[in-house]
Amino acid sequence: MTDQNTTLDEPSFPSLWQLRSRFPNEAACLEYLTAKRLQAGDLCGTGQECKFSIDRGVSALLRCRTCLRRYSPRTATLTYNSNISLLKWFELLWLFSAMPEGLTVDFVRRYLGISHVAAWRMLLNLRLHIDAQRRSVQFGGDGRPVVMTWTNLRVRTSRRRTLLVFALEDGKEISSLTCPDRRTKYIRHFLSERITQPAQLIIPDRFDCKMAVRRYGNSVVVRDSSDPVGRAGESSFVADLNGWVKRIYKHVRPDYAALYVREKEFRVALDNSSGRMFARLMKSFPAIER
Amino acid sequence: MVVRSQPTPYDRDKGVVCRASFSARFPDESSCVAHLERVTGDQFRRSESLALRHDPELSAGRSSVQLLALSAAVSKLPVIVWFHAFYLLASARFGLPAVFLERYFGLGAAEVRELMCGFDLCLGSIAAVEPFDGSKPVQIDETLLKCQTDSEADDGGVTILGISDQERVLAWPVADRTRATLIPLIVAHVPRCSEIYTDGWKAYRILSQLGYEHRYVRHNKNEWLSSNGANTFAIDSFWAYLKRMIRLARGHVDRFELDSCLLEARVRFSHRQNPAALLESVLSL
Repeated sequence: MTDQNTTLDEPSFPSLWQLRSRFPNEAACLEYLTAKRLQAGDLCGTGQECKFSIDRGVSALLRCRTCLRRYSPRTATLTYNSNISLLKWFELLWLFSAMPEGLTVDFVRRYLGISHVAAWRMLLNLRLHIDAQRRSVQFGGDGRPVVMTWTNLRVRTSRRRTLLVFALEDGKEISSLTCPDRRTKYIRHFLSERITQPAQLIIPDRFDCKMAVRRYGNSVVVRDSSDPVGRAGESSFVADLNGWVKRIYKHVRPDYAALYVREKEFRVALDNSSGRMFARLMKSFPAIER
Repeated sequence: MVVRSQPTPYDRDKGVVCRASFSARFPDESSCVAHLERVTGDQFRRSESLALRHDPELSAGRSSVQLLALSAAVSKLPVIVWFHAFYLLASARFGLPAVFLERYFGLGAAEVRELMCGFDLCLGSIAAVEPFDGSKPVQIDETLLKCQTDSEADDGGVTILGISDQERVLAWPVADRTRATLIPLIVAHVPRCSEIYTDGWKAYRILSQLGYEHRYVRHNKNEWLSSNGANTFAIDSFWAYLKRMIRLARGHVDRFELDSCLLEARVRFSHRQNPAALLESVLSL
């Protein structure tokens, strides 16, 4: 089934029509995904070097030669347990990266001809996938400077009106934490997860969690608000966060706010370039999520 | 696991045509040209005459498909691109950013601008401009819209007057919100003896003396629905729609494109519950 000559590099599609010519039907998408899964290897989750082959008896199933289990190529991926065709999933990935600022459920529903709930679930799965992919971003090491910024994110709820978003920035790379308040435990956990010591943490002078940061043992440089290097709260990421949510999604619920922030982080980190975003999504798309 | 590879008619009942259904109907250039020829009754042929593009009389008395055929005839873009661009623009609730269309078709900014101007032209032909008939109460309100302008002295605020009868909306940019500016426009578009709902702005107080049945709500007293049923919910929802459309699809609006922006918002707002009807109107499906 799989053509050995199939290009497995993430192809770039300057237009959706080129994507459609590369993936004209469900079989082409499945073939691509199968080839990617065969290339990736470990599907059983045993940690061993599993070898897969395509089960000739049952179309489009992968069979592990070690444990003899059979898997669908969609198993444990973004599309697992979804009744939506791969064709639509591929189009969704392209639309997600091509829409300059964000993709609404309403547009997906109308464009793909699916129900509102299905469109919402697809986008939720995609944001969860991005969240999982971006959890391992690391900063610092060798005393590299990392700028820490924060902002309040307005969310739609009757009780708590805002959430706190902390962001670590090193050039274009960003990592964020969305938490309900500024308790020390959140910041400590965040810093211990994301920063490799030694690192120089640049925080704004009006940042009132300095002690929490210092206690963790960071080399802290407190910048004056007028200093352009450490103008926390005025970086493009946090400054535009509330405006972006209001502009594209109107409002977000507190349960999902972290996922939306992660989406914004993904877009800013990849410079909002549709080609780079699509390539990244296609590359991580067949990755196994446990 | 059931994989739905074929388009389902799920949303067709709700007035939505999905991309797969549209592509199945117009799969190639010849099917689009055949549709244009069938609806307009003329043979479609390319024209080099750029004069057509700038003809101010172009839209007078022509249907949207005739305008589409004219726009496509003087353009170098394939007709199928026009059809699919119109499909995308008509089916998006708040319109689409130009950058998205550039990426979707792999076109340049000038070509996408051409497509969007063609769409605006077609919207102009289906937008109703006749006065209200007075059978329903009309709601009147004004809002301030921030526009981008080159002039530093100008703060960019433009006052917009809107009249809505729950089904459709008329809106114009006006110089200010004084009685002398607002009342003549209202008199020209709303028949006497109509029921008019406004907010408590003093410029509207004269309406009852002009033969209208005028009721108002006092927003400054936190009154949004008066005891006699007066409210401005419909026109307020249009303002919210207009501002969200600008934020989402355009980012900002320039002074010179304010009229086309208002026109697009009016037509989209009238069709917001049934985007398929807008598509049918534009392409005469």
